[in-house]
Amino acid sequence: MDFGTSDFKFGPITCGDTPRVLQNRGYFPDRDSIMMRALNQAPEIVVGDDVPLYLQSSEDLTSRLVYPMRNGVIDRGDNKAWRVVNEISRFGLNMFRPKSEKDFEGYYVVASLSSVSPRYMYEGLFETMTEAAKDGLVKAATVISQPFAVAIGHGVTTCVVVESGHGNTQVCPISSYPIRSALVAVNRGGGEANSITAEILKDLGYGDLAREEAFVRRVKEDLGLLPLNLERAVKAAKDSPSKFRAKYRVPGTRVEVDFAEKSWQRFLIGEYVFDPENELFQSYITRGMPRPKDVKMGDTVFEGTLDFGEAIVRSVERCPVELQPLLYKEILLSGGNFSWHPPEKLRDFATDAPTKMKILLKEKGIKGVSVKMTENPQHSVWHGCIIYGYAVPEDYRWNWERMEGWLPVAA
Amino acid sequence: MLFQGEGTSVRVVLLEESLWTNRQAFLNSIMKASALAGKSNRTYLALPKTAASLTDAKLFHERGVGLFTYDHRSVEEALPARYFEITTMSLPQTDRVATDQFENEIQELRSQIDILERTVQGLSEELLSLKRVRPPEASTSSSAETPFPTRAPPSIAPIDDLPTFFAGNPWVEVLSRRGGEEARVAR
Repeated sequence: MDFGTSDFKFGPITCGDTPRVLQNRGYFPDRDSIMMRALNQAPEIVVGDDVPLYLQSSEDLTSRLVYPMRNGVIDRGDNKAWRVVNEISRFGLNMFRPKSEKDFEGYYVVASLSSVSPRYMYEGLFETMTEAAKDGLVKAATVISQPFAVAIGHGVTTCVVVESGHGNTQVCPISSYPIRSALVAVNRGGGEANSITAEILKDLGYGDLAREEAFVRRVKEDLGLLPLNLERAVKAAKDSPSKFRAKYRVPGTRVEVDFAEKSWQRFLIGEYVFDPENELFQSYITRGMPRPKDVKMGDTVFEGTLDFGEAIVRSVERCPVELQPLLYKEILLSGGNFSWHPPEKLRDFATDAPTKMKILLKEKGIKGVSVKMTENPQHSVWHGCIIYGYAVPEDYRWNWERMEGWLPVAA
Repeated sequence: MLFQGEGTSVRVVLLEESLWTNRQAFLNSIMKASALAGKSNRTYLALPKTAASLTDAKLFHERGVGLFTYDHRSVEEALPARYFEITTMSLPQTDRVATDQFENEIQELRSQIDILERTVQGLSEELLSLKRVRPPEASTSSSAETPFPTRAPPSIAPIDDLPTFFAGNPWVEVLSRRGGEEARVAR
């Protein structure tokens, strides 16, 4: 089970290469409403594909539609979020409950959480699995971190995994085990790219559209560029804007965004994700764009403006010196926030995430590195969970110090 | 009477005197003689010349049986016998050599198949042991601690059934040693 920010990916080994995917969310219908009373059939919580069938007024969505893993961490007292996790886990397990239960003793469940998840989240998941075990669905459970699962899924035993999602980015070295003491977390992810895209849209005169998150995300994905070198790219785009000009039209509508003379701003979107310290961003921050802040979540401090190159260097330098060159030779980038595709005609100015990461590391004096995107970023965490569950011996018991092993939950 | 020589055999059936004049008994004798065709190359019936006049040459011809006639002076081949291939007789020398060669080759192939079967069996066992996820030391590491329920070792599952992302993944081996390292240290 991969509890991602947006999606819950799950399924047993028999699913093959592709897991089942549901939106990681739950809806709490208003059971006091007249309609729900009349129908007398609304459940307390709805997960899975049925959620749209129960959605009520859009005003209620904020409080009733709960995405439990928005930042990779659930507050200890956030009962609604934990209810969703409990319900969606049970939903997934029931979906694959064998028809004949003659020899079925329950699944060995491997769940994956963000590497910054505090201990109480592990305990919460084990509690969920213990509840499911009462129905015979689970025999033993374990929880592994998402970067560790990515390394397993990718088949690399010594590497640095950089996992960047919507809310944050985690840098985790792996050497047969995750090196937890070297974990570096950055409070910046795809959400920050959305923020600066919204600011740019406002400046371009699309303030009304900039309020719609889904629209902003589409503009970011279609028009955003990751520069090889920000200053050089901006200068070139200002000198000949027609070469860099781009438009985005929302399919099936008359809505169109045209960057026109401001097409150089396309480069700000990608750069802000990788290195927000550039002075070009200062004017947006001065005008109210929230600056990524250092925050403490659980036991981990997330630095807000640390550039990704520096984050990797800090993480690797917390490891033994002998290991450091081996780690630099295998840097894995995972997560949708690294999905940047430079147009062929702009190859001299725009690039992809691995190349940008090499440039940032080179600026720090680290050369000869190998940076790769995971082959299957959407499913690599789930692949890692499946391999872990298959390979780890069943008598390797859960240990809170090493945070690994099986916890028997069946009565 | 059977005569053999130069790779050919000839059988001669002498009829008893009592049967010479009994037509039915005579016909039965011809039938029996014709039934011997195939056991020798040629089959003849031998009759005195005086009795031969009673015989029907067409009958001999149809059955492929020859006729010898005799009196106190001479023996003559009144009707020639048809040549039949012998099924039970030993093969000519050239065929025998070829047969021997084939038999030797079959024997050789059988022994080679035996060797291959043993080799495949050995490799199969070796592959299974390599795929074995739980090393022997892992199973002894903490078994005394609690009677944790065991499941079938993953190595039982044939590699063909696994998803493609398992192929060549070094983590399968690394993770299968979990617990084993600690047991070794403890010892």
